[in-house]
Amino acid sequence: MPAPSATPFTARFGLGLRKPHYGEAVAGAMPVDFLEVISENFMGVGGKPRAILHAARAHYPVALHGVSMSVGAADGLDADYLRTLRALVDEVEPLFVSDHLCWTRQGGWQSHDLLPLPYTAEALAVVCANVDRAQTALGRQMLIENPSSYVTFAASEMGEAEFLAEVVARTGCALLLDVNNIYVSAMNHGLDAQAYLATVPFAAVRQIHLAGHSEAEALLIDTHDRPVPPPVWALFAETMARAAADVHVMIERDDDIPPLAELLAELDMARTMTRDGLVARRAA
Amino acid sequence: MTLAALQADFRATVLGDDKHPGFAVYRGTYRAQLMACLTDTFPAVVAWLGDNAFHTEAARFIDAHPPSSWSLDHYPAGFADWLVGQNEAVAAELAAIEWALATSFVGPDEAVLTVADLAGVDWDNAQLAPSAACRILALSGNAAGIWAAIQLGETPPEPALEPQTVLIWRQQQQCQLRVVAPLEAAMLARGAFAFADLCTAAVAHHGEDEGIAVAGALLAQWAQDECMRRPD
Repeated sequence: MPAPSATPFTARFGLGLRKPHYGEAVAGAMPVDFLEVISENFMGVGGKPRAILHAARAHYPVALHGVSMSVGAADGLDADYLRTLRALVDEVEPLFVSDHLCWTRQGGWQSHDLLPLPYTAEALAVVCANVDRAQTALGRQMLIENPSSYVTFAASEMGEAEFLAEVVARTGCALLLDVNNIYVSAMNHGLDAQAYLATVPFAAVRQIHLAGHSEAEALLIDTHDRPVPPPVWALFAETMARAAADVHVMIERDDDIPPLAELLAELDMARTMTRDGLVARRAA
Repeated sequence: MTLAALQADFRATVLGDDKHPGFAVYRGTYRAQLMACLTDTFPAVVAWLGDNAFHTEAARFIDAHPPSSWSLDHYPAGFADWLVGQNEAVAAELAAIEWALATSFVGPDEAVLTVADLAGVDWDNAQLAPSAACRILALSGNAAGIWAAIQLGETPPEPALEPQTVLIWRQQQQCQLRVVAPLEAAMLARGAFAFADLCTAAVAHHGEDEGIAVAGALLAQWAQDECMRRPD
């Protein structure tokens, strides 16, 4: 790995493509380096959604971010899902294709929610087999994202970051690191976010998510419905002290979506912190 | 415990009533996603039944119909039939209309017959067929009129048993809806047919004098609406 002092500032900054901002995206009027879309919203569909995706793609690189691949499913992957995603990949030629370290299907049931895995040797073998199959079916590397979680399993034999590092080592996949998810899970389970970061194989981290969360009775919930809060910014600064110079950073906002200017202000903050972090690394 | 057994247990817990705060988050998110999906897909049904009655029906549907597709957009497919089973006849036909609109909106893209195409088609050999984004509904009542009134914020007409065929299609990325006459309904139900078949059916419906003119007018209407595939 090159010495930090020789690292140029090549990080890229983007936003999720959401309905309130379709107009700016199709006009090429969003001052961002890339856009991310939820893959399932555009898989196997024609009409206006497809037209909007194509118009946005004409102006920006687009990352496909999935929520239903279910790489942790003991049942394996859905062949129809993979075929439909591959068709979208071929059409969009995306910057990245990502999904979560979770499971969403079991015995014909679909949860449409990111359900947690026990971090066991058996689950590791299942995830790696599924990621291998997905990367073969898609003809490209995938990025796997760390999820937020609200329960843990006594059966777990390793931590989440260690598990992800093994998935990277065995499958050659890359990582999408969600800083808010690290924070939420650490708070919910009394874990050490710094220790988590110390275990992440940062050479494999291609993309970073920033988001806000809400507080329930005893837990933080990954709701993406408010600005990035100070503790997550602090963890982001620590993350960027380790991230590759060409990492892609974005703000995720899925609910109570504010005017574009507010999201761009958050993105500017991420940009400034990234530049400051790089300066600090060069000085060091 | 194997991973497969753990995931089966976890599923049962999400669908059950475990009070553990963590499981409550998963259960709450699962049900909220499905409820939002139904509410967003069926605004006219919400308006017709009222928020509380809709929520009750939707919650019972969620209990009875766990999702089985990777796409949440596919989940509402069975809601109209569910409402039939609940003796909500008007709501069921409103739901059928709204589901047809939802699937037409994202239906496959393909070249459609336009007015500009009419002169260039070899009508002796061309096949006519509804576009892939067309939906044809045979309704037992006046749900189309009720739906239209709800869209306009007007007082809906009283429910009436008035069998109708409704054509829903997509034109320039916007969905359209109209009630069709028996001849058009019969032709659309065929799936694919030659212009000569249309002429024969039009003559059978309207007689020698009017039939050919009716067939020509229908073809012009379809080209204007852009609801038929462009013939090869």
